[in-house]
Amino acid sequence: MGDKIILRGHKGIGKFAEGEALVCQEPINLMADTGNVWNDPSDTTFTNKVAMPSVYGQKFSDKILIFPTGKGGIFSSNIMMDIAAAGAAPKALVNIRTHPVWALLSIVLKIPIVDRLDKNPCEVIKTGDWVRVDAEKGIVEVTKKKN
Amino acid sequence: MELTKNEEKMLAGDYGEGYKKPMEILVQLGEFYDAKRLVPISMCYLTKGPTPTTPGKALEWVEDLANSGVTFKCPTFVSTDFGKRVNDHEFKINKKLGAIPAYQGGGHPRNPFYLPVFGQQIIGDGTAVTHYMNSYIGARANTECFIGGYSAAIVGKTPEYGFRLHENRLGKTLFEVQVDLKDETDWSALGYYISLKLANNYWDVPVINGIKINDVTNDELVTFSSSVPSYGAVVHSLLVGISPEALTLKQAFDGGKPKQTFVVGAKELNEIYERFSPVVEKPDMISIGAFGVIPSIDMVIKFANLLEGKKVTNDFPTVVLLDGPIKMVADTMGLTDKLKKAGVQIGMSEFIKERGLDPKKHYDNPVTKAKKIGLKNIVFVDAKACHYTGNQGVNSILKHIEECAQIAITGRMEV
Repeated sequence: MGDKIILRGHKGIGKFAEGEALVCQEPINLMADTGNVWNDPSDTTFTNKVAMPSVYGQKFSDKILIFPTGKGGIFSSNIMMDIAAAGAAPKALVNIRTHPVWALLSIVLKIPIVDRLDKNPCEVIKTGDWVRVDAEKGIVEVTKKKN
Repeated sequence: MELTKNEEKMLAGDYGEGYKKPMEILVQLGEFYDAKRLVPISMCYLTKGPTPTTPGKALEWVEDLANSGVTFKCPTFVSTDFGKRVNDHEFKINKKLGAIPAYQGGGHPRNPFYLPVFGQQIIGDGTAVTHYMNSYIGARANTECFIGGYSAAIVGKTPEYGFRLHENRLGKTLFEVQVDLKDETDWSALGYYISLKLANNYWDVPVINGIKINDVTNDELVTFSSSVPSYGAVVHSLLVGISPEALTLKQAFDGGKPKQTFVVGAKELNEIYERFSPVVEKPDMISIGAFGVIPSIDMVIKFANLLEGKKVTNDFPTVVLLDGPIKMVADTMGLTDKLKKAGVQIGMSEFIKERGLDPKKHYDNPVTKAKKIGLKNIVFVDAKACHYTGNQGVNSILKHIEECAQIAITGRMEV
């Protein structure tokens, strides 16, 4: 077991999920960032090399997706609905501050989401760490990946 | 969140399941953002947007609402099929809910027919509309996507948080513009620059100072509105002297000081042109307008005049997106004919069909299918368009309209 870190934030939306972290340093808009979703939602990949250098080529399916916030436009929710139907949605979402579009997709798709934490999740959490998201309590428990 | 007795009844299902579902969504949203209450909304601009599958789960969600017997409780405008991009089935569902057709109403504020007035709480999606209504009308809106938008339109209310509150509408960051913005392309570059700087903190309302009021056109403000939320999510800014909540710099900050100041000179603006610069001499397409970017009539006039008596190259397509009122004006002025005569394609249908896609599917466009149809280098006049096609691995190139005309005629650009 690696070291544990607890982050406490605002009460989130949804209940509980745990899984491996994928940490993205850029704000996300699924319309602009995941080009191959239009061919196969089940294989959704970050394809925008210029806008998304920290996660380029990676997939968020079954991950705990950590990212600063959402970005414009507004179509991330309708795209995520198709991704979720294809079984490729993230297990939970952790933000510095949640954009309303992501709060709303979290409500409808029942994907737990937490934000306003006492530490910056994009700095504290690294890709590959094990993350437990308790949205009801607003707590994120991070088990650091052993090097 | 405190609810009125009537709102509590709606939440409990006393008015039926159709009203209960959107009310539950609004209450969850409000509690997440610490809203104290729901506030009535005066009007809604809704847009669902494209989905990867057909009809898509989002449309099924809207259809379920429509079939539950609910109707919109305030004037609600949706994009129509004027441009043949929104399918009939979707429009029928919206009509059942009581929607009023609008020209690209939900997606882009280019010549909107229906406008709110200062201080009104509205739903104003997409992001370009949200920004335009917040910043230049002084109406109040967050960006809440189709889920929040439909829910609010059905209930007639929305949670009071974010840009609906006076304190969150005040200036937080200052952008001192020290470069002349010569056209809409420069305005789009300025928007994109601000968007990049506030990418992870879009709520830090930018105040833009240094613009001469008489030099600004409404079309430029629309273009800026389209670009400034494209990388980040800025949907409210204050343009000193123009925004009704920022007639002076002092008013913009309510007497306070900016937490951060950025100077935007020629060097900074040029960073955006360099970010979207050519890597090959011959592009695969020139597109005046793009997904979510409707060219202004001024842009169309300029392009038609630049190409008058000339022919564009056959090496690649040059496309101008004309739709709704802009197309009507362009047709009336003879601009459409002039452009066609020069070899320009009007709208994307011809091109899409040539590449084996279905022009009736509104997700069949270069933003979503560029890779599939072999577009690797596209020239645009707008930074937002450049940004979006990055998802297809496209090298997007940002050029002024005069440069676009030159590239269209010669078939080549300087690398």
